[in-house]
Amino acid sequence: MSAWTARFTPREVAYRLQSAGVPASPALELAELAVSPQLEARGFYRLGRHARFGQDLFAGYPAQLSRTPGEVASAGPALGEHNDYVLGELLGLDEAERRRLLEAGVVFEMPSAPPMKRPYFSWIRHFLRLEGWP
Amino acid sequence: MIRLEPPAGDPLRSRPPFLGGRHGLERSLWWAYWNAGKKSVLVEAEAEAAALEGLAGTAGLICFSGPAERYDALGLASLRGRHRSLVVSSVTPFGLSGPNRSWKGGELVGWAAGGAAALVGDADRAPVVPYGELGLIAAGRFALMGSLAALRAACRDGEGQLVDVSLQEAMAFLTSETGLPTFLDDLIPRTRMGSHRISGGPFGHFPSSDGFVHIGAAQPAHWDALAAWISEETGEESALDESLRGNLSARFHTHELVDYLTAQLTRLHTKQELFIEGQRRGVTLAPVNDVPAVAADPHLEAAGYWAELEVDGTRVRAPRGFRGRAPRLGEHTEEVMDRC
Repeated sequence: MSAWTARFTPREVAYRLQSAGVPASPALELAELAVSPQLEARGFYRLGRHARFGQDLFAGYPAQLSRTPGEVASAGPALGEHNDYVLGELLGLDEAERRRLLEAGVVFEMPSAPPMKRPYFSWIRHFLRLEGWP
Repeated sequence: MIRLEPPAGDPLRSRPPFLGGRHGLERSLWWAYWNAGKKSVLVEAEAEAAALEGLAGTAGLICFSGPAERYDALGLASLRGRHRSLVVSSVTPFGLSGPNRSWKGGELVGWAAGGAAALVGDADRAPVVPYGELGLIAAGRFALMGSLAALRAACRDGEGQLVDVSLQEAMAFLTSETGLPTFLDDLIPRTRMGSHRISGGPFGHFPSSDGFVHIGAAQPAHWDALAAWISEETGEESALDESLRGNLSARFHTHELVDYLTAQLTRLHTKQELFIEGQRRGVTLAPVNDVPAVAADPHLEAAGYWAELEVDGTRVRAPRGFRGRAPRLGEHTEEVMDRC
C-alpha cells in the first residue's frame, strides 16, 4: 500500500480511491479546512456578531436542521460583555451594589478599547467565501 | 427504538470482542452495549423501504447512518414528504449536500477529513486515531441533540424535518480549540506533539515505575506544589528556582529541563502512588489507566458507574446508562410489524 500511495499527493490518493468506491481522505491540516469545498458548500464556518471585532469567525453546529436551523446570535463573548445583563437584569443588582462588587475585585468591567479587527479579515475572504465579511 | 436488521444481522453483531471470546450473533459486546433496550425487526433488503413506509406512520423519528447513496435508495427524502410530522436524522460521512456528498467514509476518514487526525500522534510519524469510534459516537451525539430539537418543533407545530449530520463536520467542530479560527489568528500551524505539549507546564505523559501518569501543571500553584515535591524526593534544588515560578510562559523556554526534573520524580513511584500523593499536594496528576485499571478504579465504583448488562444470558459489568438488554435477532418482528 505505502509503495503505491507514496507516488501521489494525499489528495490524489483520496480522489483515486473514492472514485473506486473506497473510503479515503487526506489527513487535512488546519489551513486546508479553510479551502475545503465540502465545508464551504455546507456553510460550516460562519460569521457572528462580536462586541470587540464587529464580526468574528466560528465553526457552525454539526447537526443541520432543514426547517428550524436555529441561529447563532453572536460569536464568543468578550470579557465582561454581559455584566449589565447578568448583574442588572438577571440578578437585579442596583448601580451601587455593582460598583461595590467592581471595587472589591469580584467582577470586572469589559476593558474599553477601540474597535479591533482580526488580522486575517483582509485576506481570508479570498480563500473562505462567506457572506458578510467586515 | 426499533432496529431494522437484515437476516444476517446488523454488522455490529459481528464485531469483536465477544462474550467469552466466542463468536455469536448475540455475543458481541459492542452490539450488546449500544443496543440495550432496543427492539429488533428482521427485514429482507428488498423489503426495507416498504417496512420504513409502514413504520413511518407511527414513528416520530427515523435514524439513518451510512453512505448518502443508501439514504437515497431507501427513499428517506420522499418518505418525509408523505409523513408531514416525521423527523429523519441522518449521519453520513460528509453530509447530504456538497461536492463530497457521495464520498465513502467511516471513523478514520472522519478524523482525517475533519482535521483532527493531523493533530494526533508523534511529529515524526503518521497521524493516529484513538481507539473506540469516538468520532462516530460524537456524530451520534450531535444527531441526538438535533433530533430532540426537531422533535420538539414537531410537537409544537406538527411539522417534521431532516437533521443532517456530517461526520467530517463533527470532527472539525470538536477540534475548534485548535481549529481554523485559532490558526487564522496567529498563523501558527498546530502540529502533532505526541504525548507532550511543549508548553513548559509540564504538560503530558511521564513515565512511572509501572507505566505512565499524565500531568497538566497549568496554574502557578500546580508548579509550586510539584516543584516542592520534586525537590523533596529527588534532591533537585533547581526545581525551586524562582525563574521557573509563575504561569506556563515562565517555563516555556526551559521545558526540557522541567520535563527532565518531573520525570526524575515520576520514575520513583507507581501510577497509583503518584496519583494519590499528587492529588494530595494539589498537582493535576492522573494515572494513564489501562482497561483493567479502569475496571478496578475505586472512585468509579463508589460513584456507581457500573451496572450489570445481560449478554446472551450472562450478566457482565458495563458503564451504566442503559435499560434492559439488546434484542435477539428479529425478536420483535411479529410484534412491531403487526402494529403497522
